[in-house]
Amino acid sequence: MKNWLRPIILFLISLGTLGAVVMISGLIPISASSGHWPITAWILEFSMKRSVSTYTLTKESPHLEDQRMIQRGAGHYEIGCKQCHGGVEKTNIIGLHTTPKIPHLPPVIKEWKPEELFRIVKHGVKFTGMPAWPSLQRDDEVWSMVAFLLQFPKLDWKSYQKLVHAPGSEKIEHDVLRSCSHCHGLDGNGRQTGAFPLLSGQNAEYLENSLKAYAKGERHSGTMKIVTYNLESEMLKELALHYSKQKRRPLVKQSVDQSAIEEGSRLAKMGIPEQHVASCIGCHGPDESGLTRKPYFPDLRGQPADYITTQLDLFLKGKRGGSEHVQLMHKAVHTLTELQIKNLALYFESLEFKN
Amino acid sequence: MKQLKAEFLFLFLLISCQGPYSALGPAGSAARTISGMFWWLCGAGLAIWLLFVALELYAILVKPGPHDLKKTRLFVIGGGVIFPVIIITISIYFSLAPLPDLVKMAPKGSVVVKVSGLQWWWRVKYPLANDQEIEVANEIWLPVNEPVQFLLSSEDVIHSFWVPSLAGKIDMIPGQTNHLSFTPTKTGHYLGSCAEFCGTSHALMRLDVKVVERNVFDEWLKKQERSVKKTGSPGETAFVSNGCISCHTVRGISSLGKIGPDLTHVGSRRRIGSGILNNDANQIHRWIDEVDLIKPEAKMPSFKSLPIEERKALAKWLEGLK
Repeated sequence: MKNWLRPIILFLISLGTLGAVVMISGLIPISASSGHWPITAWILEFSMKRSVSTYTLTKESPHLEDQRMIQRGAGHYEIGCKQCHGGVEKTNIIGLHTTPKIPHLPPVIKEWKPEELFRIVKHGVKFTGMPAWPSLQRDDEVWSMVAFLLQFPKLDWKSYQKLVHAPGSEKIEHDVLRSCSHCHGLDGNGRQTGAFPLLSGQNAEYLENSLKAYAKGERHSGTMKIVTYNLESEMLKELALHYSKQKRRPLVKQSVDQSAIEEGSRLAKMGIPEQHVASCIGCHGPDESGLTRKPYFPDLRGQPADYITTQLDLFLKGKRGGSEHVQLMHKAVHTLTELQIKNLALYFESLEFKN
Repeated sequence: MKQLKAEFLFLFLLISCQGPYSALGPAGSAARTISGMFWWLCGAGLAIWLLFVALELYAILVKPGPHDLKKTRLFVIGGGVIFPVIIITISIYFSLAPLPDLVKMAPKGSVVVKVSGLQWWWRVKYPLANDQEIEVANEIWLPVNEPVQFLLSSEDVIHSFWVPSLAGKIDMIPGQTNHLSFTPTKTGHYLGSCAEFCGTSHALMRLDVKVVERNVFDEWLKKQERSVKKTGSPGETAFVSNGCISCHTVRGISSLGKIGPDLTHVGSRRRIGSGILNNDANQIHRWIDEVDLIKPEAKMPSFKSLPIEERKALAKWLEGLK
């Protein structure tokens, strides 16, 4: 061995031994109460910012001004984020006593670009307790959250309440229904804004299957997973029944594109044989009597075009998931184009739901 | 003993020369031409081989040692260049000569069959006198001793039509119609298959062809023409309400579906799934349940998620569509 190498090796071995002794002795406090040394805090934060910046180099943010996205993001914030990050004024009490402290978001949102917020919301942050989005398949949900976060600093208490609560939903006594109602409304009409699927009058069997699939993570949705995961299957069944019995009130529509609806109607009825796309109404109806054909197929009449578009898009990407019936859809729609999806969605939205 | 084994092996090889799937048991004009060519080539090949072996034996055993250079050159140039050129020219002539007959149109009034290949089955249409067409699938019936005109195409990728005992192969190309005409000469049941690799389940794309007397053919066609009567049976209801009609037509019940095979008389076919399963309620049930396992990557999804009574009723009803 070369002479100069010996002291270096000896030094490294003693350093390792010392480290092991310190670690095994348990002298180092891991307490949240003492916080990090300034240097540790700086290193952790600097590394996080560098990582977020590097991993968003090629990411581009979509249009984030859509009121429906903001509503959906706000709904998730209320049930999934508020427990730690708090409301419009300050962070929750938990956040004061963690290491690192949980930031109150409105003042810090402007420090980040939308795509950086996307990265943090989707993947979470190690060593901080910030969790990843519960369903990594749903980038659209994460973008909705980002859309809300960008508006968050502009909100006061009243406007926040208005955004996250359907009128009267906070007064509902049934804990679970209250939570559903924030977005979907107690009557399942989703505040008629088109941001949420309409649950009123939907087939109970389909609703129950979907809720169970959400809970198991088989139908992908971060938002629906956190609200269904802890519920008993009896409760899910009850919820499905409740919403299936509600009276439908139609969406408040901005404009009607008649030619798109006609084209959508043609595709829905005839299918697109040259693309191996089956007719929609063969399963979903409306059939001769105006109904869905089987209770395990969802009734699409009057559903918001935005919702149908998102679902078809997820089907095409293989990211929707669903109950055991879902594989029927993958082969039926896998060659649809963006335009065809838009027309189909507008057609089903235009169909009247008779109670 | 060894001798005996070899003889058995020989018999075993011969078995494959007969049956419904053999180019060596021709039952049609086109296949006869092709098998005739095959035997001529075999015979000529054998003769040349014998001649060659005889010359080799002569050179090794009868007259070893150096040969006259001039005579050797004659052999090399004559036997190595001139002789093969003549032989190959002759065989090219005889193999090209029958082609015009295969692609020329059958006389007017002949039976016309439109066949298109799809991943992985055959759509078969019989044009009728009244400008209408009768669609069936995976099974072709032909009258014996009458010229028949095939119009071949594809709806997705390149397939190839081949019924060894009758005719083919000829490619089925998307956006193009290829013609094939021949006269089946022996009644019987023959098998075909796609002869151009066309995807995962290419090997499961089979075809049944029945050559029958004219009156039997007419009767069959008339039966295929008939629509199914609505009865409101559980199977019929299940077929409509579970979305089967989105892809499959059963004339009389729904003519909405144009994607999958026409099932109007599916119960009358010899096999299901493009020639791969026996045609009975059990196998139809199996097909509904696990088509993805039986025929990988088929366009039809498996319907195992439907309630069992629905699937049972469906299978029973489909089997009964004779």
